[in-house]
Amino acid sequence: MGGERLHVLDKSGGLLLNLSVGEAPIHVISLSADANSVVIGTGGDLIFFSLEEMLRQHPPKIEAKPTAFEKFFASVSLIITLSLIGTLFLILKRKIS
Amino acid sequence: MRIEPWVFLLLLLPVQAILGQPVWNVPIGDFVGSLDISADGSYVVASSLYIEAGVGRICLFDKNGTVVWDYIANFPISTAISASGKHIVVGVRSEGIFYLSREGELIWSYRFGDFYFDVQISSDGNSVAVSTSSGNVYYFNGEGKKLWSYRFSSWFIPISMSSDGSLVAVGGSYEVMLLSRLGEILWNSEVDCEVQKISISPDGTYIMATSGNSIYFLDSRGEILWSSEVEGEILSIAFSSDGNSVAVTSILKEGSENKGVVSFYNSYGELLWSYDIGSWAVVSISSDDPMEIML
Repeated sequence: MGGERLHVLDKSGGLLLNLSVGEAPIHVISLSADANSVVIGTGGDLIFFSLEEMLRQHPPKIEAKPTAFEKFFASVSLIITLSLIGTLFLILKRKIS
Repeated sequence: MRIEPWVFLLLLLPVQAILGQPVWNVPIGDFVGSLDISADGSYVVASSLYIEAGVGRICLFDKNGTVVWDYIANFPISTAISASGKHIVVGVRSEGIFYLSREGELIWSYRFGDFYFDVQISSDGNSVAVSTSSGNVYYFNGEGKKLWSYRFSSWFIPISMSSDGSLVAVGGSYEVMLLSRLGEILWNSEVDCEVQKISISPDGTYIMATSGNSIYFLDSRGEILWSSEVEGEILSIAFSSDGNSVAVTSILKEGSENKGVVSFYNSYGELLWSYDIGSWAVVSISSDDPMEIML
């Protein structure tokens, strides 16, 4: 049920593609040395994919790593937010009492 | 767009995915037995079986899915294609091996009569290694001359040939051996298991042998650099082209559930990462140097 899938990962373990390739189990696979083509055997079918084309159609979502300034800015923002919340809490507490 | 060069692939039972649109999809029988692709993906050789009819088929396709040639064979078991796609070797049960050109011409053949074969071909197509179900390993040059053969055991043993054909790693009963192109046994190292799978890095620098859940990683002098264990049973292994990394897929059965994992190690035995795949998987790794495929 649900078919089988072809996962494409880079050398750091990042998932580039996760393809549904039909219903039958995939039992043999070969990837070309240039990583542009892959052929699989699923049941009696021989299926050829162009990874270059698949990655062009479905580019992996790569999250950019934050810069040092962005990390600093995020930390400062967090401290300010927490301070504001604390101040508001103290004001509210005094008004209630 | 250039693909990340170290891309490697896994087959597995999935979670969420896009629908993959193939370039081509061709039915070639009831069951695809083996396949191989040339270095630049221009040619694909595959064998299949028609179960009821009891015959097999061997086909060569180009990258557009056009049949270059198509033969009916008794029971093809294993296939391999040279890097350029110029030469193809096929193992046929109870018959032997057949060495063909890209144009489909039979260049030479060798009869064995064994039940099962594993065939390997060097990148340039000038070397062929064969392991048979009777425990013999044969080595041929590109003209079909048998350069050497050894009987290692009474049952099938795994072999792996370096990219240039200069070295053949053999996995035996509690031992790993490395043989040269001339048939010399360069060394013989003891391991604590019956070797079930073996792989030599393309440049012959490292050898990995596995059995059950155990991994042994050896250098080209036969020293065990490290050994490790994975959860479950090892299903497939693959080296990166520089030999400095290896991928291992394994599966652990927990009741009715299957837990599949791919583990990626460096040559020091450090686990760089692992990826949970939920089910069984086989792995294939691309070259990390695109220039190599031009050879």
